[in-house]
Amino acid sequence: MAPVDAWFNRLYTWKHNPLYQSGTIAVAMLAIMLVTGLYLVIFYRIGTPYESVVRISEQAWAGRWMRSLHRYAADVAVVAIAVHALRMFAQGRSWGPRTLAWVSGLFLLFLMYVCGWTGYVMVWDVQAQIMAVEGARVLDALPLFSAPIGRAFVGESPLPRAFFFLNLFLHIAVPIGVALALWMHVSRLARPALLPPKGLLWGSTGVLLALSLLWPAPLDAPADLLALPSRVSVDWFYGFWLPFSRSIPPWAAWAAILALGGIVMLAPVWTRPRESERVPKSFVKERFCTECDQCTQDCPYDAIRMIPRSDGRPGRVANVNPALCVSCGICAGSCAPMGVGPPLRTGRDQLDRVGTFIAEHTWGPRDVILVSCDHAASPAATGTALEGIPAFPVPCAGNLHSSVVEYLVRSGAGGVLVVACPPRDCWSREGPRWLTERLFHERPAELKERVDGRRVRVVHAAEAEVGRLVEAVDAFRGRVLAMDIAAAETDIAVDLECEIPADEVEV
Amino acid sequence: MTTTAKVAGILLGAALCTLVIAGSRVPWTPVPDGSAAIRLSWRAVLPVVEECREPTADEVAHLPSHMRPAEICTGSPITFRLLFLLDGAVLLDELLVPGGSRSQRPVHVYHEFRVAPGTHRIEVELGPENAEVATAAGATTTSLDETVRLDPLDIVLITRVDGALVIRQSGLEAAPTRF
Repeated sequence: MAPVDAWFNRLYTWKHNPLYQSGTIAVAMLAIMLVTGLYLVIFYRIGTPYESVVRISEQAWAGRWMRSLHRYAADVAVVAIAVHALRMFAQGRSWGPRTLAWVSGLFLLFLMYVCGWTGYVMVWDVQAQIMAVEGARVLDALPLFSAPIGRAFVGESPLPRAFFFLNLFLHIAVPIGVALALWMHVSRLARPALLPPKGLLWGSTGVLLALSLLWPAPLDAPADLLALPSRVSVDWFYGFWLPFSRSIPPWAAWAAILALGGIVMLAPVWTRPRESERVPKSFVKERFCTECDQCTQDCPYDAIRMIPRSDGRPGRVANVNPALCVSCGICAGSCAPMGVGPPLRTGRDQLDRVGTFIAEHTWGPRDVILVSCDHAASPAATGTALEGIPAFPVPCAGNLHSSVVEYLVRSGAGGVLVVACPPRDCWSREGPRWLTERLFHERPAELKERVDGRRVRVVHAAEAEVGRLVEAVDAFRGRVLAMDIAAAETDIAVDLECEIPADEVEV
Repeated sequence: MTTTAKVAGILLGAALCTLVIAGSRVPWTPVPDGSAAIRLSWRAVLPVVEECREPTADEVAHLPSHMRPAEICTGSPITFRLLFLLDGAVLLDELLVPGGSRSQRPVHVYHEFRVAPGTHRIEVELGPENAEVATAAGATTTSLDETVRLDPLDIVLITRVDGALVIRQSGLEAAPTRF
């Protein structure tokens, strides 16, 4: 996945990379389907379904491309959802607090297929006939119906209007369920991004519109229930199951559906690391908390809230809900007094580590130090290009406390280059965004004014973008060489004065 | 970002969308062998042999006034046998037993057989399994013996209209191709 990401980044930049934006593209396609669907439903007739679709397709101005755009958006939506799910799975983001998003996402996909099935049957051409007959054959295997529903499609009598009314009703009602599932899908996220950046939104819409005009969606011959279907154009994204279901008995189809569905649905269970391998959840050291509220604002999962203090002091204190915390550590980077974060990853822990790191390495006043996110381009992967450059690893760029950068700069480094993931592909969500805000835009815990900001840079480089990393290091080295020689401090003390000694705490 | 990358990005995006759209119209032949099919499909309420009697005073006394029946009937269903022969070979020999706790639910016949195109003799017989009981209940045997011609992908539907077995075929309305 990493090389493909890097390739797409080169063509689209990380901001418009459609692979990073797969989730928002799916939502954008839903919006297109909603708009075009409202137009189509005006002209659709349940009494003469096929004829009304023919009339829509023959409309010189809007009908033809509206229908095509509706259908193509539906196709792109399922592809985008599949890509999105695959990415989340590959990145191990399908278990723990993300289980709700995983399960609701699968339910969303299921609803998309129900909606797609009803949409294709509405047309009542040969493809619709195959979908209806096969769907009924599979459903008849369930002991739910008093009469086989497949008998409705044997050609004994024309299909009643009620069938098409029910179908139309479902096609309109199911999207309401899609909206509810989508709400649930993002309910555990702070500031969820629902739409892609404007360039990608209008670009993808424009391309689909152009293809709708140039290559309208096909319409097969009308359904004939007293004839086996001949050659037909099948939408493989919604009808991929047809060849399989036709070649196996219905019970086998259900067994396959249940087995596959169960395996995918239970991914949060079988992808979950062992207890001993999991990163512990964030915790709050109450005596350091100054009630600034910053961690609650920065947490990408709304896992932190303010509650009354329990140490006798007045006011409130941050509190982490372990059921929602994904252990990203972004709260640690947000906390100026360094009182919150996962064990061994709080600001104070990072300062301890960087102190050791400085003691173990030597560098000159024109040297560049790297601080690299574990998920971004690794300096080690560049081969000999960055050999000899000290690299301080952090689990997530958003976890990095600005005091670490301050420590490195004040220790005499010519420059500190932080290597972060592309913001749209942060495994912890929003890490690179908050990092930039903290280092350059005075978002607490901000980089202090006493640090020469020219000596700090951030580069967004995905795992496989090692070339980009090397270029960024070379460019930054050039800048550092043009600056004055960095002065090294020997007795560095960062702000830790917020702690109230235990003997001053009123109990 | 270079102009080349921008152009390549737009072209790649268009190509991916085109690929998706091409995937939405893949030609497929669901019946590659060009076979035809014979369907048997109908719904029927089978007759029931009922024995009725007046309720006893004790039975009436245990029921609220608005639930007291004029007579209490117990029914036993008549099992029907469905026999389907194609060109003299038995393809289906099935007993039709009504469902439901009182065996009064309608039965649904729903079968499809793939056959080679051409001319075929179709024989269908639907009748009660126990002739004596059936005669008492007024149940009769219905049958169909026709020769039909099936082109590739044709479907012949055998159904039941007003108690009689009939054939329906595409383009022929209710009239089958007969010889």
